[in-house]
Amino acid sequence: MKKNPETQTDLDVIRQLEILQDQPERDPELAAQTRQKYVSAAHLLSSRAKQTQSTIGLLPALGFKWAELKSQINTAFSRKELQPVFAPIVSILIALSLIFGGATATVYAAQDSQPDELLYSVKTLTEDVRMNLTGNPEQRIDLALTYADQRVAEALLLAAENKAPSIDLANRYNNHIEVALDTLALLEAEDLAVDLVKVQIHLRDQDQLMTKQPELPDQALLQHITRHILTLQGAIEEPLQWQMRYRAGQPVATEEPLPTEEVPLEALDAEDPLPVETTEAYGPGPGEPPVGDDDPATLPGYSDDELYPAPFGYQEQQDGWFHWPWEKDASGTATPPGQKKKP
Amino acid sequence: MENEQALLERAQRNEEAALIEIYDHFSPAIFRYAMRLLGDIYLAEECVGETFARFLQAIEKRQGPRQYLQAYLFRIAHNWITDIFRQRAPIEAELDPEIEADPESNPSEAAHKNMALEEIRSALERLTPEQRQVIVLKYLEGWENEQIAKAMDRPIGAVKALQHRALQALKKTLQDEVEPL
Repeated sequence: MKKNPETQTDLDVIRQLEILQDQPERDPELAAQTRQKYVSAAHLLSSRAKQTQSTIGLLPALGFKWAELKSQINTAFSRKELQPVFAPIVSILIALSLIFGGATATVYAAQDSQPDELLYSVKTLTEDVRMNLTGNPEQRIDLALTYADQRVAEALLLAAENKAPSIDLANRYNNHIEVALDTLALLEAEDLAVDLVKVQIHLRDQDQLMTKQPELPDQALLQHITRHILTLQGAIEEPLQWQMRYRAGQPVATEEPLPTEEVPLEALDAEDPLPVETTEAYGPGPGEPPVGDDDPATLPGYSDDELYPAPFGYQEQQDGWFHWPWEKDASGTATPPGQKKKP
Repeated sequence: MENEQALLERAQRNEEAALIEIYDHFSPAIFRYAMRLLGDIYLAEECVGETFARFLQAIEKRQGPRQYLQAYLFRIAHNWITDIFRQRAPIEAELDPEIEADPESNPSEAAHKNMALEEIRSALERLTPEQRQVIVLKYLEGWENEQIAKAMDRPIGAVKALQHRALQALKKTLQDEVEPL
């Protein structure tokens, strides 16, 4: 005889479970917000995959070792961007918890806040602290790009909710990309190509996200994206030349004349700490002592204190903090010390 | 919705339209599943967001499912809910004073229903994660044993055994709540 799998008492229990069948409807506003975040992430994933594919086609012709480059990019994306904040933030939170106790919970809660929310300033503060503590140039670029992606996502969310764009958000975005570019300008040649591609991919993704959205885009942020894309024009083809032009503060984009005061090339050459035209620009050979402008102690971004050097790219100031040495104007645009401002 | 397997293959090629179609098709069911277990619309919505965020991460890392997409998504949601249960203390069945009564219904009837809901959720929470998953998928979502076996990555025989033990445990917990020592 076939055994009945469910006895009468089982059926009684099953009947009691039926009370869970009726559930309240999903809140339309909450559901729309969740979907919007997913759709933005799906779009970013999809467009990033397309960009990677198009870059694969371009690089072999330029003589890059694609397998090595792809491996480095994949490592960077999977380890640092998909898990962008937690590991180092945990260390910071532990330190903060020892000092401030309950304030840590506020900092943690702030990580999901939006520009029009009260905790947003706490979130940006923790970002600034983390950026200031990051000395490794690769990590610095990854962090700046991650934060820039977050600013774009926040701008999209504001637009989706029909809220006014935030000028502070656009300025913060600009600062993040400036940090990435400034750090690129100091990279060694062997790392430069990989990180240039990475920055370009992010900028194009961000541009596509902003221009594709149905609502009125954040014009200030969009202008920053467009300007930075132009800044990197031709950089992959001639990375070292791009780096030298950028460090010299010369205009690096050629498509559009930029509406600011023109700087005579002679004046820039005179102020440029690196010679541009000759092969000596690449410095002395391995094992040779640094000479003249190639002496690291004379380059911007290095502390004179040999025992306690500043983190990468920083200088210790009178207030005891390490600061990025380049000057910034009111709009947040960075300029190397002693150089004329870039248009 | 088109064939689930074809949709999954398109998603693995990072096709945006396929990724969105997957969300639109499966997110209501994931919400319902979370709502039944958690009884909180905010937590249930968070469960939906987290489930699909983990799905996207898996697709990006090329570690996503090769088949049985629905089973895969429910497994993620189930794991997330299990973590929530582990993080909080066991719920005591009690009335929530902030629940507003429906003006058209009998207040004592509504209160009784709320209490019964909390009791059954509390009993479910005391099951092992696997027992809970079997009960909800089988008796509330109406899945066949074969589908449940795929979602749990277990043989059908093991699913039936889990089902039997889960019902026994549930019965005992509910009886204990009715007749406390």
